[in-house]
Amino acid sequence: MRRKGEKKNGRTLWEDICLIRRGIKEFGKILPGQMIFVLLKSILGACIPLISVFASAWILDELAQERREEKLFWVCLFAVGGIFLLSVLKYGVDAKVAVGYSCLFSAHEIHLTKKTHRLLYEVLEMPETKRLRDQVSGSISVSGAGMASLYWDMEVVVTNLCRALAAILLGMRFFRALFFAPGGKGSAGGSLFLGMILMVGICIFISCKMAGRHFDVSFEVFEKGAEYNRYGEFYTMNYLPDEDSAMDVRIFSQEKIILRESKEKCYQHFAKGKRREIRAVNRYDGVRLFCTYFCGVCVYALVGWMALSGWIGVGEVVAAYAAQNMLISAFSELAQIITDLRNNNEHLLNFFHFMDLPEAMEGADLQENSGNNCLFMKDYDLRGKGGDWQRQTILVSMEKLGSYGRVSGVRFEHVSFRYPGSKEWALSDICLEVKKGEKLALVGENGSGKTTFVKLLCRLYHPTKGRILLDGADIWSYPWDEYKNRLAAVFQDFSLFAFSIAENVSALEYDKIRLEDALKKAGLWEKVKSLPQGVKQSLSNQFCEDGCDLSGGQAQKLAIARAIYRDADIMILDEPTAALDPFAEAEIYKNFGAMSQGKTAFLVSHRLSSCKSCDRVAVFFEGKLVQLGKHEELLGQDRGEYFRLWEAQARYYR
Amino acid sequence: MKRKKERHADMMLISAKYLLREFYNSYHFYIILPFFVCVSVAAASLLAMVLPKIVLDVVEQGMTAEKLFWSVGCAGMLFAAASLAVMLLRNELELISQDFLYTDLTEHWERGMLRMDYEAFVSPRGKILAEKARNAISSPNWGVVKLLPGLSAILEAFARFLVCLGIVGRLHSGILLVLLFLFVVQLWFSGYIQKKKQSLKEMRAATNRRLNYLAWGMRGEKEGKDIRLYAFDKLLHRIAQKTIREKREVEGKAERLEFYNMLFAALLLLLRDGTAYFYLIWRFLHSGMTLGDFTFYFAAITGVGGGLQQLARAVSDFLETARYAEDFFEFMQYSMQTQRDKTMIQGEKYFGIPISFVFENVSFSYFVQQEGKKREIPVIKNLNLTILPGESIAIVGVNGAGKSTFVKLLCGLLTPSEGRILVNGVDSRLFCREDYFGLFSAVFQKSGFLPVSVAENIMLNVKPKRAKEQENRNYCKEKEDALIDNENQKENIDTMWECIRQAGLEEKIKSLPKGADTCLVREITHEGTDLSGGQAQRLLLARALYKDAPVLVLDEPTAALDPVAEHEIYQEYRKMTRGKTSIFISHRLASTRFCDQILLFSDGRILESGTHKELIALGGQYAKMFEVQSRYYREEEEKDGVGE
Repeated sequence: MRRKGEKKNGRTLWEDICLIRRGIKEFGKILPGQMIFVLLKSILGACIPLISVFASAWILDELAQERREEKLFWVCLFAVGGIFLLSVLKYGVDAKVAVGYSCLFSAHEIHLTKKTHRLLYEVLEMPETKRLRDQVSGSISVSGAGMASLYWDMEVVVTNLCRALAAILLGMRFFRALFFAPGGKGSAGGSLFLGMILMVGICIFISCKMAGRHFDVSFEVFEKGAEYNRYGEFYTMNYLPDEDSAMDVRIFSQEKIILRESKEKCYQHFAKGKRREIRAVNRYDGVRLFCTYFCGVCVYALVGWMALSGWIGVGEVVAAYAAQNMLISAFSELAQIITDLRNNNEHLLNFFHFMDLPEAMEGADLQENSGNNCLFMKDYDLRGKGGDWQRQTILVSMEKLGSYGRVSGVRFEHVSFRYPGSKEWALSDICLEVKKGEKLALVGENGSGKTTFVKLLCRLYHPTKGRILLDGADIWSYPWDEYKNRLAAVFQDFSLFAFSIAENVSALEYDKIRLEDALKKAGLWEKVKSLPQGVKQSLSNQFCEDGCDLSGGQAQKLAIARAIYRDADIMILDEPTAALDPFAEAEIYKNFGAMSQGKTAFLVSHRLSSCKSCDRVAVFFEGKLVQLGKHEELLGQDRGEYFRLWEAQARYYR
Repeated sequence: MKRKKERHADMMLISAKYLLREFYNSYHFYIILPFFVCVSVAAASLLAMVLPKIVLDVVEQGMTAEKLFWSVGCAGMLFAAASLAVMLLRNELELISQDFLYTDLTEHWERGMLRMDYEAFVSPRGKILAEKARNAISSPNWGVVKLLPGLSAILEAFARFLVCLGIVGRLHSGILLVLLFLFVVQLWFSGYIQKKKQSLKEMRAATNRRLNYLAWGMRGEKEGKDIRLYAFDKLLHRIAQKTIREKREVEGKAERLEFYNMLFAALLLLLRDGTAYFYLIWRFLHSGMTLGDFTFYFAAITGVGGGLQQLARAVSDFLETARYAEDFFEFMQYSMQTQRDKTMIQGEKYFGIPISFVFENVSFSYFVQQEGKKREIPVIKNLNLTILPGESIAIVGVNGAGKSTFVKLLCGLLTPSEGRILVNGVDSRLFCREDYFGLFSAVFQKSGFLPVSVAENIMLNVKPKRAKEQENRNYCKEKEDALIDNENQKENIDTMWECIRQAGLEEKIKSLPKGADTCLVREITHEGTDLSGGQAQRLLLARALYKDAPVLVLDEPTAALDPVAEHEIYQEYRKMTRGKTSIFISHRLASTRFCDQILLFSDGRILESGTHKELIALGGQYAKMFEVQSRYYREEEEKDGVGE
């Protein structure tokens, strides 16, 4: 058991409160205005039982003493009517809260995805980022922690604060009746009253302590569970329902190992954790409940005695009991919820951490973002050093660009790149110049750096050393919007969205003529024309019910159409045909020439045959550019890497 | 309509029974736990009402302080004991239900997934059932796990209701009728609201689907490059905003209905409490009721109403749980029904000898539901083929020609819609499934790895020592087993390394921090390594080789490899397939040369077959395909004068 001192999870209470405050602010970004309703709901919720307690005390007093029918009537009406009115109000607010809640999980996820879109690409690709995102998503979806916990807990906090306040109000009533009512026995009741307060105080203290421990254990068990959960999730969500894995499962009879693994790595721990939690809960809650009941009975007996002695009225007996009951439960629930909130801050920290990951593509934005405003730097930095992200890039003004205009083309100047956290150079010292309109093929073995080259050119990575020039200016000095419009890339793992074809090609509003032209050039127009809704047809049925499915070749063509639609001066194709059959492959290469007419083009391919349609070939080997020249020239160099690659493939076609 | 409803209710009952029986089998008499909970709840709720009555009675009648302390003390302690019992019993119930979930239910589901027939598995119905069943057991807080606690909740509510009913009955039976009447009215109204809500169901499902796609269908990671370069974020943002707005509107409609429901309930509550107050005050003023009785009866009247509402909620919760139980049961039933290992022929005798296959008029079609009609999509059409023992076959063809389906038919994952497949002269359907699968080693296109060590991924049977100890209680036997196991294990490990070497992965595996004990799937194991596409394919190959089955199936084993690596694999190919029947699918026609027979698939049929030379000489589609692929390489040779 963690020692409970001033600090919890390494934070003081004040720091925790700051975090919660920020959490509430962030929550407002996910569901604007929702918190207000939650607060309103909880205040109303606390008031309703209070009315009935007050009313029954009044009624009992009245019944015991004066029995005025008129007053009784009005009190009853007040109680019943008040409850009704407040309930109606509360249900109205409830509906608002429920609507918000129904959107919460998906809105949260969309909020995260939106952040992902803005992330610096290097950061996005780091496994730590993915893990962090999984944690943030997991904490809300698996257990409703994180932002969801904040949502629910705030309600409980406010409710119980209101209840505690109400209990004190009730207590005051009792106090007044005891000391200030005509015939009140102040002096005699004083010590008794003090004793009672003391007892309730002790009981509250113990209850809070126990309630806090209960939640600590639950949290601990839950945290451990999350650790095991990824195994369970892997098997139940990914491996078992997957059609491809299902073949392996059957052919290689993996049943035993999967059953064993999922049990040993996950479910066994879940069951054990639950057992541990319930045992602890039994103990802590047992003590807490016993205390509460004991205190309640004592208070009852004491106030009963006071009433018996004639110091207070009957109504006060009921009110006093209700007050102490309410007070104890309000405080112990508060203790629980504060423990929960403080523990939940671990999840919130992950959330903030994710939200504070560096983003933006522009130099200006980069600088703005450099100071992250979180409280803790604990595990906060993915790379270890804080300042690594701050890249000083100067924005070149448009006039200045004009003067560079004469040197057109792409130029790599001693470019080296190392993946964050890696010691090896993915690319080292690349010098290369590609003139405007030239077509360059990039070849090499797996992992030789071709894809890294492409990503650097796309400004997805920043070179670790050296620089890349476009028309004489560093590509990082262009405003991102301008730079990206000069590029059109088709990646090996391109992605299509389940929206309409037009949206997939144009990414926003589309120009009808250009769209048609792009689809025609990509060789997809016939197919699109045959669809019932033409370019407005959605892909797959994930988003729209009546979407259509494209084959691998058609999807590839659509991705190419997207690049053509952009009509940029640099075209990049990264292994566009890996998954295609020979005919589809040949068709795409046939179109390549037409598509890239007059444009600078980069083509990455394993199929060396495609190199012939390019002006020059750049051969990569272990991150270095080892050969560069015309296809025929390179083939002439017998010992060269290109020759080796070519021979490996060509020999089978002789 | 009515009959359908009845059948539905039957189904629910059967599934609940099935699950309760399963529970009984594992936990025996824990099943009566709800009764104990129910008894202690009844006691606690009775004492909670009695306690204030005692105090007020004592005060009103002006008894001695001593008597007050005694009676309050006794009643209070009983109340505390009952409440503590409720808590402990409820916790125990929760614990045991979750234990049931984690030890039995998940295993049932997993076994169902692992064993059900592949064809059923990939069918849309199979997928829906599997997903529903998974959902039903996916949380410790709702779903099948709540079966027993749900039952207990109904009993508890009923007990509370009965206690209060008994008390109110003593007061006036008319009040009872009023309370029941109010309850029925409320039930009727909420039923009406529910029906109205049903009409929103489709709209809700549609917005949910859209929202789910936006929230979980993509996460901006895989799509990162395209999103950045083509500025898709604006589009996505706009669509997301619109969809959330739609969702709010739809849910707002549903919640408005719910609001009316609650409003009505509040109105009834107003009536109930109002009646209770006025009636009790009237009784108090006119027919001499004590103050204690006043609070006691008031608590009982609200208790009856509350108990009824609790009961209604418990029942509707339980019905929800029962629906999950039904989902689970339906899947289990489906999975059992589709398992096909009841047949007699054991395949063991075929292990180690070359296998021949004969396809006799084999056809295969998928069925798709389209516009309410079942539409048949033929994939393999009337296929006749003989594969001799030890022959090596290459299969080529354009995408969608039926190559993969052919392989699945061969491996027994799918069964022919028409015709039959003979394995060494025996109909493939007669084999016990497990044994039949045992005949094949395969590298499929998109296989993944398990999050275990490299060695376990290849051998699939390594048991960590600890698990073994738990299993064998008999110490001596264990020792013997361990000895034999150790020897076997050593042999197995040698074989494994041999396979790794053959697949060209020895260097890589040895360079890993823990060698073959390094874990794969880093995302899950958090340690170890991830292999690149090419390395992964090699490891899959090693796994297939390790299995050493008489038939080797390779489905595009070189798609992710660079030319040099591809070449290396081809070099090993001969050795790998020695003494085995082998099937090789490839887009790269270059690879087909090693094979004794090449089959060109087109539109579900075998269009051409023969050796490479024969097919080239034939000048058909194969020749054309080869021409397309080799054009560039060839031109080069002609120019250089290196030709054949």
